[in-house]
Amino acid sequence: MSDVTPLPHPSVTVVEVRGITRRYPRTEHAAVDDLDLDVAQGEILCLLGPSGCGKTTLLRLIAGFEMPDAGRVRIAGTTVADADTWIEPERRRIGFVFQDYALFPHLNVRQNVAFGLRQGSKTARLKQADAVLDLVGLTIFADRYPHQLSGGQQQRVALARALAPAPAVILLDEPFSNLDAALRGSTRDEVRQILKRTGTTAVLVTHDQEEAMTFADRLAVMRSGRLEQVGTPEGVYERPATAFVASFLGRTNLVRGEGDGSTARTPLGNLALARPAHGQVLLSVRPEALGFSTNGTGTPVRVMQREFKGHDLTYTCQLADGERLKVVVQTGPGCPVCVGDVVPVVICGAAVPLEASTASRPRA
Amino acid sequence: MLIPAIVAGIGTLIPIVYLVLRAFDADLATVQRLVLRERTWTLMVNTVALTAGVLVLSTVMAVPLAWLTVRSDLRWKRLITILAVVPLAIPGYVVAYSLISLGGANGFLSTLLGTVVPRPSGYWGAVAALTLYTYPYLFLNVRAALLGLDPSLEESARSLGHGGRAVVWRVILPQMRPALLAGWLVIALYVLGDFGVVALMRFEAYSYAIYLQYSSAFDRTYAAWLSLILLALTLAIVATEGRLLGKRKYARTGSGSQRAVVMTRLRRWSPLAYGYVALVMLSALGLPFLVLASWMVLAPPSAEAWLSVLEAFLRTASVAVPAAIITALAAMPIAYLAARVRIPGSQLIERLAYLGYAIPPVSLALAMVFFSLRSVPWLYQTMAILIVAYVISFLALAIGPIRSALMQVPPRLEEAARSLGRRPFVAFFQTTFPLIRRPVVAGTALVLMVAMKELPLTFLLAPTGFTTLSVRVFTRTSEGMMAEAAPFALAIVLFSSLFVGLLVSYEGRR
Repeated sequence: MSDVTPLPHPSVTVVEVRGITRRYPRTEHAAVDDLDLDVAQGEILCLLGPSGCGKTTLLRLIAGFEMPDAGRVRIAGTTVADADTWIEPERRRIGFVFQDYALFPHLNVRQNVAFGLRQGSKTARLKQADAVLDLVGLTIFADRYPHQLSGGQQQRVALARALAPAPAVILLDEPFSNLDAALRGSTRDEVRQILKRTGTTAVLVTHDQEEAMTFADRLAVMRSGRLEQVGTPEGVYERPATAFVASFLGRTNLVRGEGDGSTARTPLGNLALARPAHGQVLLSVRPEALGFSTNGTGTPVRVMQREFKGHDLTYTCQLADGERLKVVVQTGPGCPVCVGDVVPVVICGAAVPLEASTASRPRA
Repeated sequence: MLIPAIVAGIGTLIPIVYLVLRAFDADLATVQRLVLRERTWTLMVNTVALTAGVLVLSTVMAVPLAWLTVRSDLRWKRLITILAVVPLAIPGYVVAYSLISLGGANGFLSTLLGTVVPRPSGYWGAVAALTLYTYPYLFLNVRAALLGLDPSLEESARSLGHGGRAVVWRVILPQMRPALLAGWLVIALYVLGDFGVVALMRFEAYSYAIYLQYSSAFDRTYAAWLSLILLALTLAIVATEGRLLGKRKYARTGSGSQRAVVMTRLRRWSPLAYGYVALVMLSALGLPFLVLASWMVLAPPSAEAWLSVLEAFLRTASVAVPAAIITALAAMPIAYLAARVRIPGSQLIERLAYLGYAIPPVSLALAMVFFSLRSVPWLYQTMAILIVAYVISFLALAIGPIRSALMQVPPRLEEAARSLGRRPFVAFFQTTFPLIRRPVVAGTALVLMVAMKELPLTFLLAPTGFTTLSVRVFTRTSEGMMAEAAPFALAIVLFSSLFVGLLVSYEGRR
């Protein structure tokens, strides 16, 4: 399954959030502040942000575990929360996967999965639960109790339980954070495949940028209760809108410059721009867009530090001509440059002009 | 959940309000003349002296026993621990009954030995009886604290140059403080609330005086005032305990698991230790059982007597069972509110329930009398008013275990159930309730057991002629009919012991 899955029905919006605001008592800023968001049918959207940015609150607002102070939520065409409407979580057709899974300890795996199934006879429901367990590859564990399962298996039971009633959207709150690093990657792939195989619409909350980029069809980067940028993982990584997004998604060099349309004058020389800009601009230049030149052209830098990471090499350098600008350069693993060397650096991609952050704009 | 919790919480306050109303019925001059007389002061001195005496004596009994069962190389420590806790099942008036039946002309010793020994009574009689049935509360607290002591703290103190005695004073005792205070508080509440022992020993502490005032003098204003003073004394003691405990932290701060304790070798002290344990066991447990057993042999009750015991037992159960069920039903929403719902006032309702537990039963009984006479006269002297009084008095007993269990169940379970289409109430019953069912049953059983042996509320509130087991024991004993009281006392003790055993095994089975 490729990472860029075309959206099956790009026109159908399953989750529609408009102007949603949630303010906790005795706090200065709103946890979620006048936020808009759309999730399309069959899409996996990742809400990414640092801890405390409001991403979990947003998820719980969609689920109905929190009541918004303002704004509107629609799920599958039905308004579930606005100024005059309040639909309880049990009537929203959502599935929720909790960080600690919240499996019912007194029920076995099959009973846990069947818990959300209400139609048909008991045997029919248990049969249906078995079918979902088969989907997540846990058929042989159906008679076990949650405490007899490993973390990764509990994770998949939680997913199966949420998927069983065929919800309009499934909401996942940091579902992989309780797994150890070795298990996290494989579980993530499995969950993604299951979601895609069933064509399930999903919203996943995470603070792990690598997880967000590998898991999401679309990324929504959140900061201080607002959306900073929404787009495909590639789009957001390659064209970050703000300095926050650029540095939260991987490493980057933030360089000040003077734009004159398609290029900008910077301490690293004249750089090509990814989109036109004029006057004072802040630019994001990814370390992998920089390289050491062998023909003598480029801006000379002094190498301060060299980190060998196996598949690549990261150099931390400083401009050689006295200006105190730190430059991070990423090269292939065979680069011969050493600490203390003075070498010219050149740009092999385009620099991205950044906007001011939404979080620093005045609040409503 | 909210509304029943509020109703149950506020319910505790109503009788107190009526007590205050009744107390201020008289004009101010009368009140002054009534309250500010010497008798009020004498009663205060008596009550405080009784409390102090019981605290000292129970500490002398409980602390060495706790240390021996936790930290020494004594044998049969588990058995000793269980036997030390069993007196919890023996009501105070039965202990007083056994002490009293030792002496006197009709007494056990005179029947057995032919010599008349004076009956224990008054201050020392009351102190002895109260100590023998309340010391397990201190024993349990101190034992738990000793078990939790980290031996590496003592070892650090030794490595810092402190000798054995300094370690006890500077390391062990400060850590025992919360346990001692908690145990003392429970015992003090029992002493202040006790009616059976002081009445049988004819010692004029507040609760006995309130009863005398209410039943013989018919001066109910003074009875109301004495009840209020007793209530104030109780609340003052609760507040003092809270203040003494303070906000200090006693938990381990470091990480890593605690090492096993090295047991102190008793060596040449061990005969003394065994003697001490035997003495405590014999007086707290042996005395009531031996006295009751001897009565069975000396004056075997007739079949007719046993029939009336059965009758009284069924009568007792007919109020205790509904009271226990209603108490558990009321406790659940209050515990849920206190453990889960974060709204202003949710903790307050729980505090009110604890207030109900702290109200001295005689004060509560009187308050219920005033309340029913004034507002609901058709309920006066009915089983309904008795059950309401039980519920107010025992609510906290049921809340405790339910609340602790609720704290251990993640709230996410109910949210998960709701995301799977359950209404809030259904979500609670399908996910949280199965996980707290055991504590709910245990709490109900505890209330049932306590209600089965309750005396002062029953004695003052029960309909005329409605004599329970406890009332039978009390009235027969106060009339000096020791042999006739024995089968009723035996029924209570056997039932309670059986129940304690069942509860312990039920709790251990998780």
